[in-house]
Amino acid sequence: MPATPRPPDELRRAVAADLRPVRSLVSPARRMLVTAAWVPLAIVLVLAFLGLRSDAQQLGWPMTWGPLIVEAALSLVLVALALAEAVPARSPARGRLAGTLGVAVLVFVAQALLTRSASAGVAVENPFVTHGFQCFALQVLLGVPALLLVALLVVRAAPLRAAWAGVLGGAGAGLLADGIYRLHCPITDLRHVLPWHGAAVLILSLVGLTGGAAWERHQRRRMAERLALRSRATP
Amino acid sequence: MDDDREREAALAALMVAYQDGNVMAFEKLYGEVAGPILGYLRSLTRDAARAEDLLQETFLQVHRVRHTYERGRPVKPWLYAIARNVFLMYRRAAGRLLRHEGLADEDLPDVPVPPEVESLADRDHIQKALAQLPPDRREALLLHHVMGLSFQEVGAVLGLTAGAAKLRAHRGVVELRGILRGKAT
Repeated sequence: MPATPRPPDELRRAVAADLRPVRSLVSPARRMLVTAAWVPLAIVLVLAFLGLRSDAQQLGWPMTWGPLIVEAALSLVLVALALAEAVPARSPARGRLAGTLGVAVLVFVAQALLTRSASAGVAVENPFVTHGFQCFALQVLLGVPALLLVALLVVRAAPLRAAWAGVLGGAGAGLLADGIYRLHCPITDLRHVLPWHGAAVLILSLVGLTGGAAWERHQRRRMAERLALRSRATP
Repeated sequence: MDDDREREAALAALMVAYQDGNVMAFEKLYGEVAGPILGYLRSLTRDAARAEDLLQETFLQVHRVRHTYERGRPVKPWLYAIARNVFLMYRRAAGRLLRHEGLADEDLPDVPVPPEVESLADRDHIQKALAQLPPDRREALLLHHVMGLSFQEVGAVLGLTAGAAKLRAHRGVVELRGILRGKAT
């Protein structure tokens, strides 16, 4: 009968050095609610400091708040997927991740088209330039706290494919910020909405992706150092 | 089937005790799963010494992220997912140096053999045939047929749907049989 394997001394020492009881993580869907808490706060901030869009009456309640509800719901799904991605053996299938990101792009474009068809919005002389950077910057600013919250939750778990978790979290934060910022921005011209509001979502996704990739590299480097150290110590 | 369920329940109980800070539970857990995980890592690295290193690294990771095990969920897929990630990190860190395409047959470590094909040839032939399978099929095949994970669990480890995991394992077995029959004739 083969002997039961025993942990090597180095491993036993590492385990013995930190044996504090740990609390099991709650499910990704429940942890996602932490990010959801940012939504009402961000809405209040936008309405208090920037104000409701000037064409809200023309749009009516469903077209003013509807896109926010849809984008917020989808962004929270993206965040939940990012958090699931950060738990070993809970990673969603790659097709599902790519599919959800695809749906996010479609929703972003569809609600821009629908809003445009419902209201001509505020006309500006050069829609591609006027207020473009301002909208971009404010939207990114709104997304950053959500992204930081997601990043904190992801890092507290164990992201195995951190780049995926990062891009999902970034896209979720970006879409959420877009939905909230649209409560204020009255420009519906697609030459303004698609490049500038879209760029804000994209940049937050890229920040997530880059952060995740950097985290992966850091983990790899640490592991390579440990392995090198161990192989040097082995006679 | 009931044995599997009992074994899984025992592993889950050990994992919970380990999360509660019980060092004996960790040692028992290691005793229960280190062998199969080592076999899995050998099949991935095809380097016995490296697999031993990665086994230790896997358990260091397990210790670091033990809070991510959700009580009530199966332990094995969680462990295999960590082991697989350790291997992937190692492979990326080492880059081209690690490519084992040119590994000689005699260098192959003792990789577990699926019972489904054991009657077709001797162990040595099966191991060599396994080495010829595409890595993704070999991995799905070993996780299901040797490590005893369900397709749902294999999918969770590999980041696939259960259906995709089943398809990979099935194609692996068909290809393995083909290789072995080709060798026999």
